[in-house]
Amino acid sequence: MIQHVHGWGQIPGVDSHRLVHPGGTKVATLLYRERNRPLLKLGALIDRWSRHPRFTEPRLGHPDAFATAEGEHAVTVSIAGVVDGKPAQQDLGFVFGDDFYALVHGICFVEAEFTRLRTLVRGLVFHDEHVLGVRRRRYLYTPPPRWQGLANGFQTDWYPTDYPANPTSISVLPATPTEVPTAELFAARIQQDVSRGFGLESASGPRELSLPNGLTGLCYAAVGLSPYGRRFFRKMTIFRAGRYVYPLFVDTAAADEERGEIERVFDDVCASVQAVPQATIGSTPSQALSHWLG
Amino acid sequence: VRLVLRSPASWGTEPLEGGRVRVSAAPSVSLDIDPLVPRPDDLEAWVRQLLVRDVPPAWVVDAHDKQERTTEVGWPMALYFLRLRHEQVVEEIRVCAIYRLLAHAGAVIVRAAPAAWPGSEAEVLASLYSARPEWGSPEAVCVADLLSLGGDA
Repeated sequence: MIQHVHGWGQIPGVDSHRLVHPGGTKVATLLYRERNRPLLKLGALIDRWSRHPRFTEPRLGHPDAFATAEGEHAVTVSIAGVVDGKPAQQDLGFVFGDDFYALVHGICFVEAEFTRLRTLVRGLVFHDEHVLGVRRRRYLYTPPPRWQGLANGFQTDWYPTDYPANPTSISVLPATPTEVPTAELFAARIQQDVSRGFGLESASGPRELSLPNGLTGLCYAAVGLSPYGRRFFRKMTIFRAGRYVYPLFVDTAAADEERGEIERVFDDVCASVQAVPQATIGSTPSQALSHWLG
Repeated sequence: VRLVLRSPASWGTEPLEGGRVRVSAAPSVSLDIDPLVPRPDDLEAWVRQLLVRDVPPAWVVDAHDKQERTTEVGWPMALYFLRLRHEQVVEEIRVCAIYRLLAHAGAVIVRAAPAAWPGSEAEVLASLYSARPEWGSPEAVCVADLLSLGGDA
């Protein structure tokens, strides 16, 4: 829920709120929709929400990615354009939940108000409240270039373009709040594989990892035979920050001479991991119902 | 998500309803490529209804052969060779290629007039063996898809 905007008129809708600039709809309006699905890629979201029958000559600004006060991923972007021959501007803001997004959409027809609207949208996005709390979460990393990603709930599996001839996959599991020691997590995962027919031949680690952004973790490796008799190499990295662990692993049955490149791709993914954003509002009470208080 | 086949430049394509694509390999020889679907729990039942799709009521379907194969890059595929008869006359040669792609399944139905099939068979089968999944979709699969435009702007 976004904060109350003093001076703006409110028009409640079925699943949205529309806000009108004190100068009227000919100056600017805002739309807020709290729950939207599906969770499309940013380009598709911008395309979906920036369509306007009279908005022409769109020039997309650079997306500004940041974390909200609650620690949720968010993006704002401005689109300059023309409406009825005069400059106009749309400002889009998205706050990303696990399987939904909240939208703030502003459109302004008075050039003198452009900067104010942009600032207002960013502020509304920053303070947008969802109270999602500590939970399993997807986190930011750079996907392996040209590999194909398949999302399965919170987990994403990445496959090279020549899969399955190249029997390799990288799995990125969600950041998960847990107090279980990293070594126990690795042992539990291997035990789970063994119970499914994986013939463990050797395991090694941990090796300590430390990223420039401060994330630290442990790296393990295991070799064994799949139930189909194929020898697989697994490398598993588990970062830990705050309450969360961040597990990633690569599985490959590729020939030894190809494994180095595969490990390099995996290591690059691991090196790009960023911890989930932390909430910055601390113990400040929610402002979500401030409009009731006048 | 879709199935991608390599095909000669001379083959034409046209969209069909339901996200299917028809590829014309030659006069009276076509390939209908279905969109990928979540792998059905009962794969055999799903295949059975594909084999007889759009068969006229009075026609008889003869299963001629089934071959378990893999695509060029190793995806498991099954080829079903069928003959569609009407009053003892073979009216259509049909080949159904079924692909098992992790949690998805794909299908291509080849239809050919019997006289046209021999001249196209090699090219069509080569195309079926070239199939690979393209998982890309407008939906985000990771946080990076949400925070930057990447290649989808």
